[in-house]
Amino acid sequence: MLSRKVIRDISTRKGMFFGVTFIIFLGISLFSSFYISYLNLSDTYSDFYEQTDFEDAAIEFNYAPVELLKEVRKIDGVGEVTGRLAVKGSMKINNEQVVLLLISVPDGEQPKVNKLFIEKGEYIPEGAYSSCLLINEFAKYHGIHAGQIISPELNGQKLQLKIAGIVYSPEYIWIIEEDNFFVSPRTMGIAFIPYKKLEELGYKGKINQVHFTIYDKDRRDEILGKAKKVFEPYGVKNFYTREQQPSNQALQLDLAGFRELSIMIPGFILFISIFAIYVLLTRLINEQTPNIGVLRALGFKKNTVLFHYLKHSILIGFLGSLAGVITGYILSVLMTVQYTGVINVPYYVTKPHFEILLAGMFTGILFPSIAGLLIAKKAADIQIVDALKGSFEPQTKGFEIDRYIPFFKMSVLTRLSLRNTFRNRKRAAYSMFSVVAAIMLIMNSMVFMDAFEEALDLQFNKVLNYELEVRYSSYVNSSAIKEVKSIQGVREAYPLITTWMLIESGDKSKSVSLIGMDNQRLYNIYDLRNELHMPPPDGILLPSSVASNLSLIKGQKIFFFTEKGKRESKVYDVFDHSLTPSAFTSLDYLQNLLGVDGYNTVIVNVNPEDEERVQEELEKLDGVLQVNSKAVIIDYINQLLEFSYAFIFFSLLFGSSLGFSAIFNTTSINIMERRRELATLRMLGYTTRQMGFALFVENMLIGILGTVIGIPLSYFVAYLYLMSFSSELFQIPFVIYPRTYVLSVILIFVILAFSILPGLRYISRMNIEKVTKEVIS
Amino acid sequence: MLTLEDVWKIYRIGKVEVHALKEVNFEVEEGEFIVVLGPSGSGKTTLLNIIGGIDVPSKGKVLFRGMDVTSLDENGLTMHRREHIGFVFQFFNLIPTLTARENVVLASELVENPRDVDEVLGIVGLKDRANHFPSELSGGEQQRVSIARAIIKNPPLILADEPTGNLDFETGKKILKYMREICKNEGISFIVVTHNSAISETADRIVHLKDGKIDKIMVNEEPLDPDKLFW
Ligand SMILES: Nc1ncnc2c1ncn2[C@@H]1O[C@H](COP(=O)(O)OP(=O)(O)O)[C@@H](O)[C@H]1O
Ligand SMILES: [Mg+2]
Repeated sequence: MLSRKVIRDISTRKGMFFGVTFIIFLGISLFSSFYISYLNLSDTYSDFYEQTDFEDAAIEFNYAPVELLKEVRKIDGVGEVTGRLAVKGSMKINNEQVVLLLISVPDGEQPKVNKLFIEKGEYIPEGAYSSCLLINEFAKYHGIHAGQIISPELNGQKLQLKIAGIVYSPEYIWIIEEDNFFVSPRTMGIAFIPYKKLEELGYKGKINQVHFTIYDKDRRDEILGKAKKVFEPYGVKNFYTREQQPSNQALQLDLAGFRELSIMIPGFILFISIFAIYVLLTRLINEQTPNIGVLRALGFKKNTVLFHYLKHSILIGFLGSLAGVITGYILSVLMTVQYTGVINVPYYVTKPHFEILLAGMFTGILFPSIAGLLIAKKAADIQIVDALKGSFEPQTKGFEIDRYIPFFKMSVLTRLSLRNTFRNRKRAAYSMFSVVAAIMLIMNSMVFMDAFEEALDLQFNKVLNYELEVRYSSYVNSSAIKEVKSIQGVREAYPLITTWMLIESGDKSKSVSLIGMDNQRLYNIYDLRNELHMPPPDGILLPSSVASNLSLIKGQKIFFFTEKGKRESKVYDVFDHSLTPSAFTSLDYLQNLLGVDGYNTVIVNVNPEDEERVQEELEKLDGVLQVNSKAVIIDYINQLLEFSYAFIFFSLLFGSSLGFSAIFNTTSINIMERRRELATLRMLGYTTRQMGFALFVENMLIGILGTVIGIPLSYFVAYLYLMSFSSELFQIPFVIYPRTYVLSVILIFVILAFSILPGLRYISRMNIEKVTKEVIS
Repeated sequence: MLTLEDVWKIYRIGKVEVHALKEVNFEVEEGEFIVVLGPSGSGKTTLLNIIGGIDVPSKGKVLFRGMDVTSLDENGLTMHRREHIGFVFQFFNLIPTLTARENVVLASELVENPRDVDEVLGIVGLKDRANHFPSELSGGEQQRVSIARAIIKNPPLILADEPTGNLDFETGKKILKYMREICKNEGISFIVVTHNSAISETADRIVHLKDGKIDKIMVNEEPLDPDKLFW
């Protein structure tokens, strides 16, 4: 019979119980969907890596004899080794010049390391030297199919390559090139061609990359160091372990984010659920105190009462988390499919991960039970004599806040609602906490958007002031810039040197993109604090992530590995970079350091209406490898961000529904508890409108206080949140736009207004007679 | 069956001591119908609560069929209430989310050999209202449910605190009649507490309580049929 009472108790307060169950549901579905997605993605990568014999380490260097591979193989602990050539060519597609990275593969057989996954077609047949394999993303973007012929250009020679197959590579799940996150398939592709073919184009017997596996994983760094030594005489440009491999590093960062979110946000929500259930049960028990007295007087044991009230929360937890894990599982599949669709893996792995679903169920029941136990213990401990008399919580007079607001002439009804707000301090605290929590969730979602926008604004409106970037295949002299300027529509043009070099300091080294410039007319070095830096006359302006990675500070000595040998330089200063970590110096200084004349890049400012035509004309100039358009990159980034926007939208939705259910809950409880009082007011002759207004005042007061506390707190949390997202690869500026404050506050008050609607409905439909009878008897 | 020996109850509120019960001595026989009469604040509820084992005396002993109730621990008191005592309250105290029948069954589930629900509901004349919720029942009907709830456990003693206090005259008389009949037919002892002296005429014995002390105990040789009561 007591169990039946549990069901009845719940069904008479459907709204409130549903609200709390919904909070649990939110927490558990978020947890399970995120955590399982995390595991699915992690499994997908591992599986793909295993299938393709993904590398443990790699070294990039200037052209060196292929015989050196023997030296690498000799090193103790090294497994399979693949040496190869990787050279940038260019290609015209639909009248647009794109870069095509040509990577050599063995003749007639897959490479030993970093095998390719054949999506369509076949691997290059033995002896088919004029065939190639094209990376899927690029092929898909441009609608190129297996069997077609492409004609890239390399070192002034035009090639005719038949596409044998479309492939995926474990090295390019996320296509990152020279630390540039945003490599659009529109402007860059990757093709794999037989070594014999590539070698003919001026690289006879040479390689410039080695990729290998290591079976002695513990000695990996040592082994990589030994292998690096082999190529040092030829100028090492870059080297990395599997963890630092650009695509993998980006993926792992992302995975870590997924995992963090899957614990943080649901944890936060479940924490709120404890409060929600605590409040709900306190209310229930308060109302039922006489019943508890009767039960105990009848001879029910303390523990029976305890367990009876515990059952409520267990039931809530059970229902909420059951719905949560089911939804979470479905969501996890959808998320995995969606996400793997965005990156370049040929398939995905989804598993139900019952251990996570069980953990979700367990947590979802545990959290409410904690709250339930606390309050049920209180219920069981009530003295029967007191219980029979009525409420077990001493009736507090409430905080007479109205006395402290002497300026208005207040009606007693308004006074009453002000006092009611603080009648039950614990509940007032909980309501405010709900508002604070909702504000934090809502604001944090929006802060993400602000940060992205700010970062993009910084990068594309402040740092990069040009429209087009012309890259040459080698160094050119001042006549090139004259040529560029002579094109009609070009307003300004300035030279740059852009290179990719290995910096060494002590026993540490790291590759970095280095840019030399004359002036800051079209390229401004702004840091995260919006401060402008000058390209130093001597020494290098180093991005902070690189500096901390190499433990460098201002003034310290560093070495560069150039094609002409090791060169000394120093750290001129360190700055906080935004999206991409590039190092800067002056053009002169870099020319000296590299031992070159001229420059390899020209940045151009054009009249907007001329941009397309100018780009075409620039592509036709001698020695031009590629012309990059800023607009194209921005387009591509926005496309990438769509996924994030969807995510932000959902967290906004979650934040709002959490706020709604939490606030709705306390409001309903407040009303239920005051039925007698409300009935009395109605009997006295107050209109439903007057009472509705009083209720409104109460909620707005809570809303205002919650907002006042919530905003500074959100600011602080948002700061921590964004900092946790910064990494070696990119840093996000911390800004909160005014619109975010305004929107969050508006949203919160809309939610507040909505959450009192059921209360207003109750008041307007209140049947005084029934209420009085129920309350008095 | 029940003996109270020098029972005292003292409440301390700060420095003030309230003597709710002073030196209370009396006995209850099997099958007896006792009315405890006294003005408001005289200690009637306190006395009933101590007998029922939901409160403990500050001093003195309560013996139930030779068992010392005052020496029982929490669990022992629960068992005592479960097996020996039925309660009827002034404000009925039914569980609002359970029907009349379910409220009664709730109590029956506590004991091994409860009486039949329908029979018990029949005794209080509520068979046809069994599936109604308390809010759908009148005050008198609710009190009858609570009597049914008390007797279904088949207890030797029923304690009723102002059972007619919240009812009109006619309804109150009916409730008393039910109780008197149950006492006679089933041999259950009753202790009924009231401030209404008219009711005491239906009792076998009347205990007068005044300022926490027993003023006098009167024996009623010919208890009045509740039907003939008038107040
Ligand atoms: N919990 C308590 N704390 C202090 N005094 C109490 C308490 N319960 C009852 N009293 C006092 O004990 C006296 C007897 O109360 P009670 O037994 O309820 O009287 P009655 O039921 O006869 O009206 C009263 O003076 C009352 O104020
Ligand atoms: Mg009393």
